[in-house]
Formats: sequence, C-alpha cells, structure tokens
Amino acid sequence: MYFESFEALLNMSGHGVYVWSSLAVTLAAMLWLVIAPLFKQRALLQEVNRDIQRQQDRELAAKTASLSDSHEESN
Amino acid sequence: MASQAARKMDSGFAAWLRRDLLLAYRRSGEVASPVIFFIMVSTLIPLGLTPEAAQLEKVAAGMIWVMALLATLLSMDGLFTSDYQDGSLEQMLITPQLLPLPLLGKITAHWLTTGLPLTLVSPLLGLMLSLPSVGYLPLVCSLALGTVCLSLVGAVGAALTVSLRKGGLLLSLLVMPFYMPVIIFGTATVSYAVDGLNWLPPLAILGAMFAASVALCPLAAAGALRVTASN
Amino acid sequence: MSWLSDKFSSTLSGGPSKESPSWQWFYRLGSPRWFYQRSGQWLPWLSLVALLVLATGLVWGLAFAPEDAKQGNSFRIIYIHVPAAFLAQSGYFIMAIAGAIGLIWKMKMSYMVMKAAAPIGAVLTFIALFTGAVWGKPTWGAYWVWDARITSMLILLFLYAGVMALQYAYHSVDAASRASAILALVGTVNIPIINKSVDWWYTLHQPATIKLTSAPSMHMDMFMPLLVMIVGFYLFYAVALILHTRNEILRRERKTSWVRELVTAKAGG
Repeated sequence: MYFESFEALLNMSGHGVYVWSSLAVTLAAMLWLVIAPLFKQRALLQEVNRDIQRQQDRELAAKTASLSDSHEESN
Repeated sequence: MASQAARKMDSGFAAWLRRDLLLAYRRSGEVASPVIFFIMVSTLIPLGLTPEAAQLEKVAAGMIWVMALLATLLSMDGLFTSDYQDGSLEQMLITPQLLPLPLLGKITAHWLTTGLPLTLVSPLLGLMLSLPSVGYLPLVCSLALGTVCLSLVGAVGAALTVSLRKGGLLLSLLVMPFYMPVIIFGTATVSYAVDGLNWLPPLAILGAMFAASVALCPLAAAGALRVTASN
Repeated sequence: MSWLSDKFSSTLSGGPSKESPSWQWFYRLGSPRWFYQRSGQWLPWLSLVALLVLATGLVWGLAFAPEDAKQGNSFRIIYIHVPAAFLAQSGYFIMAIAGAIGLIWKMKMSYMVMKAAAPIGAVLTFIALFTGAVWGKPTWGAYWVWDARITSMLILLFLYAGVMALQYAYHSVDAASRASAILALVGTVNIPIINKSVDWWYTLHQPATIKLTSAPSMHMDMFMPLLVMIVGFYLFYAVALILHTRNEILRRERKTSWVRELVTAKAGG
C-alpha cells in the first residue's frame, strides 16, 4: 500500500474529504443505476401477472355465466 | 431537361419563400415582436448591471449576442406551427419536390423576417451599450452569418416538436446546446475587433458553420418532419 | 410442384436468417424475446466481472498508486472522473448509433437500447461533473471553474436532457423513438464541433493553468489502475444498459404471449 496506515489512507494528507466524498456520490449514483431497474422490473412483472389474473377471472366469470344461462334455459 | 428540373427545384424553394414572406407581411405585428423584445431586454442590462460605460462596453458584444439568440429562439416556435395546424405542412410533405428545398425556402423567409431585422438594429443596441465603434462592423457581419445558423438549427428543433402542444419550451431545451458554438465565435469576432486583432478568422469559422448548416439542417428538418408531422 | 411451393414458403417464412447464417446473430439480436432470455443468462456473470474489475481498479488507484507530484492525493479522483467522463461521451455515441440502426433497419430492439442509454449516460455525465467540481476545489481553489472540459461535460448533460425530454414528450412510442433518434444523430454531428469550440474559447479567455488529467506525462503506476477503471466502467455500463433495456422490453411487450408465458412460468415454478 502507498499509505503507511489506514488513517493516512482516510486522510490522504488533507485531500481525503474530496476523494472520499466524490467516491461516495459516484458509488451511490452507480448503485442507483443498477438497483432502480431491478425494482422497476419487479413492478412490471407484477403488473403483467395482475393482467393475466384479471383476464382469467373474466374468462371464468363468463364461463360460469354462460353455464348458469344454459342451466336456466333448460329448466 | 436540366433547366426544367432546375425550374422545378427552384419552384419549391421560391414558392415557399414568397408565401411565407407574404404571410409575414400580412402579420407584421408578429414579425416585429422579436425585434422589440431584442431592444427591450437590452434596456434591462444597464438597469440590472450598471449604467457605467466603462463596464458596459466589456459585456456589450456578449449581451447583444445572447439577446439575439433568445429573440431567435422565441420566434422559432412559430416556424411550422401554423402550417401544421392548417394542414399546409402535410401538403408540403406530399409535394413532388425534394422536401429540403421548400424547407430551405421557409427558413430563408424566417431569417429575412427575424435574423435580418435583428442584425440591422444591432448597431443601435451597440450604441446604447457603448460598444467601441470598431466593433460595429464585426458585430453586424457576425450577426448576419450567425443568425442564419440559428434559424437553420432552430428549424430542426421546430420540426422535432411541431406536433407537441407545448413544444416551445422543449424546443429551446433541444436547440440551446447547438447554439453554443455559434455564440462563442460570434462574440469572439467582436471582441477580437475591440482588442485590435484581426477579426476575420472567427468570422470565417462562423462562415464554415453557416455552410455546414445550410447543407445539413434542411435534411435533418425534413427527416424530423416526416416523423413528427404525420403523427 | 409441391416441393417447389414448400421451398418457396420456407424461404418466405424463414426469412434471411435461414439463407445466410452469418447474419443470423443480427436478426436474432433484433428479437426482444431472444435478447431478454439471453441477457438474463449473461447478466449474473457480467455483473460479477464488472464488480471485480471495479473493485480492483478502485483499491489499486486509491490505496496503492503513487500520488501526483503537483496535485497530491486529490489527483486520485482521476480514477472516477476520467472513466465516468469517458463513458458519458461514448454513451452518447452508443445511443446515437442505436438510434441510427433503428432509423435505417426499423429495428424495435435498437430503439429500446437507445431509450435505455439516455438516463445512464446522463447519470454518468453528472458523476463526471460532480467529481470534476470536487476535484477543482483543492486544485483551483473553487468548486466551479469554467474549464473547457467541465463546460463540455455540462453541455453534454444538456444534450442528454434534450433527448430524454423529447423521448417523454411523445405519447406514441414510435414517434418518440424516431424523433429522439434524429435528435441524437444531430447531437453526434455537433459534439465534436461543440468540444472544439469550447476548447478554443477556453484558450482565448484563460492561459493554460494546471490541467486536470494531464495524461501524456502520466507514470505507468498511475496509468494502469486508470485503464482498469475504464474497463470496469465499460463493463458496468453494459450491465446497466442491459438492465434498463430489459425493462423497456417488458414495458413494450407486456401484451405479448411470450412475456405472459414468462410470468406464468415464474409464478408456477
């Protein structure tokens, strides 16, 4: 390591504040670029799932309605 | 045969130029507003900055250029809007002529009604902002060339935003970055002259920008109109 | 006769992919479904490699590389600033190329890549601006100096903002994609002009002071970690681009049967 101790690495002879703050902001921005789409993807997949459920419910309702209709007609 | 083709190409350019100039003549109030804006904003500068001539003359060239840019930007929004609304833009899209040529006609008309008046009143503003007298000729030359570039580049932005209801602000956002080289060399031309240097080199670069944008911008605007105006 | 019609119909339905295997990858790349499935397989490995390379470069650059004689330790910001600035610029060209491919070959997939590239590039430009400003404080004594590099970066941020604004302004997906592709192409033509003009403007107003990133005189021990960081940022860019593109695919293809099958398979399994 170039620095003698861990404190020296943190301090960087007075420039530590600048280096570490820019590193922190950079890492936060980069993490956001990766994590935000992952959450978004989950939301999108859930949305598709909900669409499928809704469609299945509708088909089921239509089927039972037609069944009960034919039942009534036969009576 | 060649002359016939030439006449056909010419008719696309000249017809739209004539038409837009006629429309501008009938709506002269609208045409005057960029120039009035240009003059009015320049009275804000001494009020907001300082009335001292020594300080004003330092910022005069840059201020006049910034205001010319804003005035052009303000007028850019109207380049295609009314044509889009009354359907004549669609007529233009289906004409047999090459689309860039009628567009070049429209852009020329736009420059004649905004860029040229701005250029012509700029010495007056130079006087009011105590620009040194050696700067007048470079100011007029650079504005004459530069405002053509502004109109041409602005036309691409106007074409990209024509069908949007609130396209004006977006248009400014889109084209402002492309205006920056023009303003850099425009103000440099004037400041070279004020500093007693040869001001032709920056003017020549403005001329190069003018040539490049005449060649490319009508093509880009035509491509953009084919995408946006049909939606 | 039947063999003839069979052959004819197979040519029609199979398209050029059966005709010329060398172009197959290109047509496959144009299929959102293929891209989604394949990128799902690559993604974990790519992310792992990107993480390793970035970690190596950061530790090497921040803790092991020697300090700069003139700027001291503040120079270590170079290991973030330069790769971010690099990728911010290349990102614009990647976006524009994707847009051009979309305009020329009418490929849906490349429009999705283009849309995904815009916010990533904008964030990288922001990183470059922020680190440049922080670096400016110990070097020039001020957070913001109208330095040629930083001004060009600011204009690049405006260019990204324009493409994104245009993308969101249109309701129609098709119009939004094509309009912003044209804007990105116009931007590509202009970026060299803008950068040259800003460089010229800077030399006009200020004599050259300490330049950030004085690359030619850089020592090998300083340069190697920088190279590693640039590679790492490229890998990170690829990961982020794939992630954003996958979302764009899901958003645009959510009504198709393959997305529905994907979701039901996931829910069932």
